[in-house]
Amino acid sequence: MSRRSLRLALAAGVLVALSLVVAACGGSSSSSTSAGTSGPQTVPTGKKGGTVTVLSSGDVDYMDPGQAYYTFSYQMLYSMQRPLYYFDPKDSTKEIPDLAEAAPQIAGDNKSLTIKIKPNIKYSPPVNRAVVCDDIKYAMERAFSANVPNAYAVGYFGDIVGAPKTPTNGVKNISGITCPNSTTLKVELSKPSAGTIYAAMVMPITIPVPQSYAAPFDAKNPSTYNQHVVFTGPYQVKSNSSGELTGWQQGKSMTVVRNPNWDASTDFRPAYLDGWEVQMGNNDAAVSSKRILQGQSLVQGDGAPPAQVLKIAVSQYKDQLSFSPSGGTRYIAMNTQKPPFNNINVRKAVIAAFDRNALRLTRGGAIIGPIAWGYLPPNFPGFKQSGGLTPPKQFDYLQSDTGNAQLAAEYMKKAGYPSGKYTGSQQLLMIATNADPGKKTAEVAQAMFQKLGFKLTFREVPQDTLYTKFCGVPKSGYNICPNVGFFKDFVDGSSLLVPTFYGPSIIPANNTNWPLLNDPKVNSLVQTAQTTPPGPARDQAWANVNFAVTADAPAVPFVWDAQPIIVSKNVQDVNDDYSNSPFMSFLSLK
Amino acid sequence: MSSAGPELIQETGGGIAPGEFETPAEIAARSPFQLFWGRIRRDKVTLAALIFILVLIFCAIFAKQIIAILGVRGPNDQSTKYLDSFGSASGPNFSTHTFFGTDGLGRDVFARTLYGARISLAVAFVSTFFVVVIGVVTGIIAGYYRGWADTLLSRLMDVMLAFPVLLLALGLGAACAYGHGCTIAKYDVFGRVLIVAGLIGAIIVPMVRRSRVPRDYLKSLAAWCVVIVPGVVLVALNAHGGLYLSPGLPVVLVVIVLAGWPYIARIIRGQVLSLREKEFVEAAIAMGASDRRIMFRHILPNLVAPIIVYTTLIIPTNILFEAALSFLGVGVQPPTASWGAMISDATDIFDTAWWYMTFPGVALVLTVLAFNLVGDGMQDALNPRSSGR
Repeated sequence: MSRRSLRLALAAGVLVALSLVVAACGGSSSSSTSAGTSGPQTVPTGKKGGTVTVLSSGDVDYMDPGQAYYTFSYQMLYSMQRPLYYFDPKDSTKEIPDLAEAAPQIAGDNKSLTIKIKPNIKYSPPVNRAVVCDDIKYAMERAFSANVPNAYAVGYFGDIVGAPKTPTNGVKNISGITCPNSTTLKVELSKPSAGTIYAAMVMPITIPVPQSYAAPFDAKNPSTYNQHVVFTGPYQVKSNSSGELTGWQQGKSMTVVRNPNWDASTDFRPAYLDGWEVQMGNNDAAVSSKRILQGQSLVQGDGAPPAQVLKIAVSQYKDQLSFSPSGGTRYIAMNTQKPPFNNINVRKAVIAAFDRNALRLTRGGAIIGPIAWGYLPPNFPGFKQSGGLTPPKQFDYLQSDTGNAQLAAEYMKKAGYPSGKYTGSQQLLMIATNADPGKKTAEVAQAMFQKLGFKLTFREVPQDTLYTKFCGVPKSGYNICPNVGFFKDFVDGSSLLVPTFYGPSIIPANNTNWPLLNDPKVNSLVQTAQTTPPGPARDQAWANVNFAVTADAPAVPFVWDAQPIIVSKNVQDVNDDYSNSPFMSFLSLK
Repeated sequence: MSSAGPELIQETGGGIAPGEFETPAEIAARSPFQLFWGRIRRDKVTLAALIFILVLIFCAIFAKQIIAILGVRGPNDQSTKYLDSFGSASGPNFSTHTFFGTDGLGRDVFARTLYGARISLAVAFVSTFFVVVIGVVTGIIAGYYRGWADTLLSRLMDVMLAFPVLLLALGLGAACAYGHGCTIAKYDVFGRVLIVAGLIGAIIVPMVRRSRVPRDYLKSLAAWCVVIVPGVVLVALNAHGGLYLSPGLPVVLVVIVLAGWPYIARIIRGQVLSLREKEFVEAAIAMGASDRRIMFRHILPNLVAPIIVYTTLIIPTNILFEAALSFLGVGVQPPTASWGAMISDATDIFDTAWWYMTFPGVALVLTVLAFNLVGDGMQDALNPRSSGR
């Protein structure tokens, strides 16, 4: 399973816990069986009415938009709330205005954005009033406070003038966020990074929070707004007259009903269903997947069907299966700061030798997506400019999907190993996850490294330990992290390439630049891309970064995977490729 | 001197014709082993189990040659050739020499089951050896000396028996996953504390008893060696760069030994408490035999039967324990084949790849059953008064 996680190693604890989940999960969707590369999906018109049941293993992390960061939370949240911008499932690569009226006006110096907000979008009871600019300002400010632990605020929105660098005691004013009037939001930046901020405005941090209602909850640490959230989208969690979410039995179930104050004319979401029930505790993914395939009105929650069920689904339940491109890459990271992988020729030899098809088979084979060669996935801005699915010719070590032993030997000779194999005495520390499918991937990698002559100390640890103690901690001394992958937080190269390959992103804990790559050329290209305004030039700039990273051979990329999504036969599915899950406000019963 | 002598068996010859001169029937003495073997031979079930174990040991030792003769790939050879387009394992197929099918990485399950026997048997025998040695020595010392030594060792046994063993294993496995493993011998301070505590104990105990006989102090020192020796080992290991306890086989062995020795120690202690009051021990003391001689030359031979029986019974327990630890992920590390790890890997795909769990599972069941049957058989053979099966 996969999740969206492992991103910026920003704020502490929350990210740590979440990143575990995230790394495990995966991608997302498009209603096509050519996983990973599917483009815009067809969005059929549905029938109004009816309810479905979502089968999930666990709960959402938070319903509070200031704290939510888990894929399953996104699946729920984006049908109940409205951020400034979001994605129409017809084309998940382009943001469309949601709460905003139009795309932002970006200043010429790329250092400020002005956003007009739709009037008369009302909160659910008990607030009932229309959303105003101050609500978005407050929503963003509270995400920088210690009482509302947010995993990405500092990392993605830290360039806003006056934004705190560390969590604040209580909600503090951020001078760079202003409201000239009730429907105009102005964001001023200390750096010319408007493109990145605009792209990140699809995240839940821009979902409005009414200060007068939420402030008493936010005064507590942690904030208790999570149990009293009010909603702006077509649905809401069932609540009582004071706003308490009575329909949410944490860890057990959630009842979602229509939001009586939602106005369909302001929203792109059709909201066919009358609501849905979330049934948690379905820990056996194989069992719950089979229930969904064979049952009625059931929808997948946080558990993706395992490979054996996927196989059955492909042959017997094809119409109930779809894939959502994860918007990320899975790879085997080599520590570029420690011998022997501080030698680029050794790294190239490893990549050349690897049977990347075998690695992909450990996660389900070709059905889950194409073999990766770089770090911008299909349909992502900059992917086409990077060369598409076929690796450019100059990356000779990436030309063979099944490995090229001869080329690997040549690179090893160039690296100073005349026999064509590693003959050093160093014992390399390889840290793998102890759960499938990552475990299988690691075992395949282990065999391939050993074939090249490397001596390994192979350790299997739980997924969370893998990040919190080893691969996320440069000092831990790892050499190889075979189970890493990074998935988008928003649709922009900065979301994928900055946390993972930008030198200044390397931090002592919660690090996500796993290869510890700190190449001045890559760093300079990243800085250029970050300050390039949105548009084709920006996409090209990120493609250049992708190219430079691939040339450094810091890792073995092996799949741009997709999240398989299943629903029952009587459910018409439409996927949300941003959260890689069924788009609840687009689902309908047949 | 031993309390158990060879049995005298009167062999029943043919009938004696009346009036003939009757020569006394020949009386043949049989050694305990002959008696034991005679009984085992009559127990077909035990014999069959014994043969199975011998065949298993043969297969484990010559696994490499056997798979070469049968044209089977090595246990760790991965191949996508044996996987379908979803990466799923393929079932038994004699034409491709995959008699037991393959696993999810295209490795041969037959070869891995065969090599898995090596791990199971090696862990079982090695850990059982240490369990028995530590348990027997501790039990004899506690039972023979009684008093302070008995109190100390018995409480130590109680403490060890109170340990939640699986949690201990999981904890050790996790703790030792860092870097190259736990540097257990780096705790030389702990080693020094053990040495000092042992020496102080050896002096204080006779002093409390107001003894002025040097021999009492030596006896006390011998008893306290249980504490002193581990301390010396720790300090010595540290002086040589430390000893790493890595996750995998070392953790499995340490946990099984830690968990297992108190059981046999308690049994032996009970037996020794009884034996030390027998006349042959009193005779040995009267003849001036040393404590060590009495314990290991006179008492120990009388403990052979319970030791053998208990040993054969804890071997299957240890095999299962190793499988359980591997199942939980703290056993042998990949890619080494182990039955427990194979069963664990197969749980998710049992409905689509039955062979992956079945063959190592059957091997595990048969092996444990065989050892249990042999253990029962030996108990009957060594103690004919006990009820038979």
